[in-house]
Amino acid sequence: MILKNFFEIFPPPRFLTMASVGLDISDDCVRMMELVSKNKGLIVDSYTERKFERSPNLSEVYENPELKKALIDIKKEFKAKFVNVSVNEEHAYIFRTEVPTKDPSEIRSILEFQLEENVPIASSEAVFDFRVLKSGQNIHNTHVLVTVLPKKSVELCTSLLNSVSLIPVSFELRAQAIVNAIIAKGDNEAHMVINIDKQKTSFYIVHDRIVQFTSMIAFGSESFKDISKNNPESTKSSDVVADEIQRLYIYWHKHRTENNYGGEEIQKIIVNGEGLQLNDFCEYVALITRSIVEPSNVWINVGDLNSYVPPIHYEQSFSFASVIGLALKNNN
Amino acid sequence: MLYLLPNSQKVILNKEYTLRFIVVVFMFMFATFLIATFLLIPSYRLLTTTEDVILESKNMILRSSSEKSNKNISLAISETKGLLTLLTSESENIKSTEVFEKILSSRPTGIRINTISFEEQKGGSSLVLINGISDNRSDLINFSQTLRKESGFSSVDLPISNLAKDKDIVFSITIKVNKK
Repeated sequence: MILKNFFEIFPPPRFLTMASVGLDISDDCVRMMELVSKNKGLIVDSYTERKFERSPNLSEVYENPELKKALIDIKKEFKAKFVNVSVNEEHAYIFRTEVPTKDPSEIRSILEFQLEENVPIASSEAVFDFRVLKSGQNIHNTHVLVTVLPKKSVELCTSLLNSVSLIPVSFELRAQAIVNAIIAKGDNEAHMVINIDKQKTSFYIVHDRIVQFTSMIAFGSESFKDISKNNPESTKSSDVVADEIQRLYIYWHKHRTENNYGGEEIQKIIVNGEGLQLNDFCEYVALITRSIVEPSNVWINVGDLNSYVPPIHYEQSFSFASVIGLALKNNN
Repeated sequence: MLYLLPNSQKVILNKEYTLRFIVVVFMFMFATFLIATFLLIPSYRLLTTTEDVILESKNMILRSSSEKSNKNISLAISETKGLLTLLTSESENIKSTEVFEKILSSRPTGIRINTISFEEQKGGSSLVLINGISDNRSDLINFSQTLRKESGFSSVDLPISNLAKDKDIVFSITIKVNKK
């Protein structure tokens, strides 16, 4: 606490903090954003978005030469060197476990042995990290949430970034990056987040601002257009959404550990999505779940919108949620 | 906060941070050196000026002391010269030491000499005045007779009044010594 106050009064030089920017890489788009502190808040210092042609033949987006061209363009435009990079949750594995120690280095070595019991990749082929969960702790054991990525995927991304003179400081699940942006700091309740992309919709269960569970359906924003006009295609997609929400609710509320951790009541559903009438979609979800449903505010952890107007249009801002969450990592 | 970095990337980041840390330390040291140099300029100027003043004062003191020492040397030389002159002149006339030796060798055991004074007279002769106490009259008479027998003493004058007492006689003998 004293150290934190000391560094607030005497901040270390920017050169030494190795300030990093957010870099969100999706299948057809790459976004970059840098947030800087100003007047006790954060403001968008710079941001960009580069769309590129998706290559369906490639197993990894990082092998797409169009992505490399886009990154080179971005690198020319920005002076950034260090980046926090998002990784699609389809490539990742998340599991929650309990370890009989409090020491972080011991936790890591225990998890290394437990890794193969929980994920279908060998520990030598995996890159993993863990978060200590605040809830459900006791004197002897520590509850941790482990995120595992295939080493090959990470190394592909790293070599791509290094080839354009960018150094990754951290990798973050896209889901977690979105949660970092749209769930307010200090809100440790359980929530469900629905993130709608063009071709897929992801569902996240969040507790303590940490993504505990994710699932995905192959219907995107294109499928939910005219949801209020009883379009037959929209109705079909909406039913899939309703089923998925129902399934997640049942899973989450039944999934309670021996130490009474997990399964907390979901307080609200937050919807983040691009390219659709978000209010109509929220109304629809509220109707089928009878829960509080609200559209996301991607700037909630950046600053007060009454005193600062971000440079990105409201409808556009939803697609920047993940990159905002990544950029916020630098300021945490 | 998750990092999810492979070990190779962690090594790169550690190296980068170490390098930056070293650069920052050197920059701080350089900045400190520059600021310290800038801040020390007035003190340096003051000290060099003080040094000049002190050196000037030192030179002045050295100059004045050398003048004084020259004067002292001159004085010492002149004093020595005077003494040498005195000694040279004595050697030409009567040597007081020889006179004192003669007097002391003539002294019997009952005689105690209190003072002997030696005074040069004009014309090369000298006058010796002996004051003392004699235990008895005969010793005093013997002493005066022995002195009279000494060559070089032209006259030995013992006043008769000195022989008035038999014992513990306070006497005063005047000897006239001629030039060799």
